[in-house]
Amino acid sequence: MEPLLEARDLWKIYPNGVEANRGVNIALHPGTVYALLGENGAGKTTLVKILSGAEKPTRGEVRLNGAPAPATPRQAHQAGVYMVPQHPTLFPNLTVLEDVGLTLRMAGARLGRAGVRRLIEEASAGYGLAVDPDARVEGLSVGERQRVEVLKGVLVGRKVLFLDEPSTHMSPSEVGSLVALARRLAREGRAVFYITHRIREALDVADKILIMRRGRLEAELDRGEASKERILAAMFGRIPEKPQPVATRPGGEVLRAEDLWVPSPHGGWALRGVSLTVRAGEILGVAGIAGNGQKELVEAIIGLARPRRGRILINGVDVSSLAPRARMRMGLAVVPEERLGWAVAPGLSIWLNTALPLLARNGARLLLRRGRAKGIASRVVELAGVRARSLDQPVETLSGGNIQRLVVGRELEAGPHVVVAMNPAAGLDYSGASMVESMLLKAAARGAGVLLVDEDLELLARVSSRIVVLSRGVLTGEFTPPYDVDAIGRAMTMR
Amino acid sequence: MADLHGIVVAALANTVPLALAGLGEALLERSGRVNLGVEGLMAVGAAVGVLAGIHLGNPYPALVIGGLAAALLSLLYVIPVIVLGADQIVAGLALFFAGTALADLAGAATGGAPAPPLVGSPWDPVAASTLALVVASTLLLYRSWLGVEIRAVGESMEHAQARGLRVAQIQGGLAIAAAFLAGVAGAYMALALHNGRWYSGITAGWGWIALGLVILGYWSPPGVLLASLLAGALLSSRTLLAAHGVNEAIADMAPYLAVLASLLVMSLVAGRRARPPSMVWRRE
Repeated sequence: MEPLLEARDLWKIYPNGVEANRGVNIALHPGTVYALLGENGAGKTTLVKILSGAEKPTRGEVRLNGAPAPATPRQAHQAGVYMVPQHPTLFPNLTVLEDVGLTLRMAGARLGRAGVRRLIEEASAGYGLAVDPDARVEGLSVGERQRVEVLKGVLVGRKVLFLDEPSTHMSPSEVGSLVALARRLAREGRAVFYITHRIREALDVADKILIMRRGRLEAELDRGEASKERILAAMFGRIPEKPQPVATRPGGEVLRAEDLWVPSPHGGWALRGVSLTVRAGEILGVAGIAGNGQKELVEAIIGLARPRRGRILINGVDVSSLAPRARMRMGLAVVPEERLGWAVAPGLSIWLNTALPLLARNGARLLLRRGRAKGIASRVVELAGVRARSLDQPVETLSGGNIQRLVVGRELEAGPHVVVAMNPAAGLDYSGASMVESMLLKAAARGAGVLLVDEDLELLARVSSRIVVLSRGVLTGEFTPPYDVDAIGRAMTMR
Repeated sequence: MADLHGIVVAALANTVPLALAGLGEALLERSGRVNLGVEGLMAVGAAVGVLAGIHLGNPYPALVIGGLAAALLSLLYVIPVIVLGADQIVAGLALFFAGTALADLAGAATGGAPAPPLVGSPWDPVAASTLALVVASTLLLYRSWLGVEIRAVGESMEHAQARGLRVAQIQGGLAIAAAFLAGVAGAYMALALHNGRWYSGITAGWGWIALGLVILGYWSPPGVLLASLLAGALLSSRTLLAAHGVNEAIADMAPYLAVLASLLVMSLVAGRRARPPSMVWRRE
């Protein structure tokens, strides 16, 4: 059968010399779901950008139905090729109808508002993607925005639909329906291309699993012959070690939150009376779908948001009225969700980014002793296994995984009593995520209490001593190992 | 009573140039760009408008010519900022200085002679057109797909570009249209509010006031019109206060204090729906 979309000997070499794609051959057939797996930096995103017309290859060409493929996203949309981005790029100040209409019109549809509404309602009902056309985007949760993006994919990607890590902001049951949707769209005759770093999901969704490594397509496995072990071997060249949970006996209480009430920026309450305790040596996992109060919980504990009611104690001391820095001096370490700008300052060197926060914790000094600061930085860099050319290079030139190693390593260097981490492994590849997991486990083994707020239930189940579930601003369940993942998933959607 | 009637007429006449200039700038800012050169554009509109009025003997085409002159001058903003990516704040300020100087150059050519004045009545065709423009631009922004595109560009130029929207054309087109309106506003000030006479500094900082009215009107055409009505009334009340023996300095201050107070009230009253476009004032 003739392929729908075909690429031969694709090369992409960026001006800085990075060879993102090195001779990729690929052919997508209608009626098939492809899953693309690979580490961060393997070249997945570059490949998809080229295939969907968002970037031009340095060499090689892409053909759609035997003709040269569209060279811009707009042409691609007109030809029925659409990419659902990993992070929704909707316009917050528009309504869903306006945003979807903009995309449809760019794709060549001559529609009025009523026509757009009808299409949204049809696709919404037909494919089980509940969206409110008149809702303003900025009032939607990230998960709802992603649903709108998928809906646009259904409407515009009539021939080839690319989904870039579409499950990033979804609950397990939502991922289940997304997988079903992808398979149904393929049955209806489209080629569906599903990018993910979750092996389980790839096995569920795909007819063919493609594995990328260092810019090349390393393996192409059919549904029947793929297994987790074969995939891992192709992704890494070997089967990487899994972090082993460390058995510890929890000690005294190091963090206590009592009856926290935090208002939501959208009106109402983001947290409605949340109480929890973390003891030394344990990891308390907080599960939940993004937008259910996780951010506010973390902000309240580290001191960025002031709860209307309730209090927070670190080592038995009420810190509710203290600034973040004062809390850090009392033994609080923070691994925030956003790395750049929150955990590290882009533009500054690795050594400044490592040593300054540590030195600041011991009280501000007038003069910065460069030698001492660099000494601290080089120790952290070495212990955390950060791959850097030099301590002087700007921190943002490190890969995401290396930045996170640096952040976690730095925070643990201070010997904290309490570690608060939010989605610390998000966006990292398998080896980076394993590293972060084992560092958190090590911190707990050394006697810190860890509060791990994460959307990845599998990760939580691997490392947590206990798991609580946050849903709509209240804790809806507490679980102990062995974990019943289905029950946790149900608690995540409880009201 | 005649006194009051005079004040109302003056207030409405003041509203016209403020609303015209503010409306254009509000549309431009909705697309994510700020042009600080409104005052310079108005000055050029005033000088060229009077000059054209003297030569043509009719104030209406003179208004249009004043607007066209300002639109031409706005290329000094459009080309560096929107085509070449220069800083919009610097370019806007440069436009203000260039416009003020060019206006003095053109205005000197009038030799102090008056152009045939527009009768500054609230029922003149310019006031009616201003009102029609407010309605039309509201429909444009909130009911048309072009309006959706404008608001999308103002929210994220990067995402708009990625979607294939013609960001530069939208912003450039609005910048030129806004400059045209500012030029007409300047010409109106000279031809209607100052009886067709030009003098240096005739726009009296109203271009800067218009920039403030965009914020006060929350970047929406009806909001800008309301804000302009308020400012127009306040600017004419200054004369009234001074005439009633209120201290000069306090009378000078009053309009600005009132604007501050109303800004506060508006920001409390306006919901989140009325927030400013997020690209505006951003310097990338």
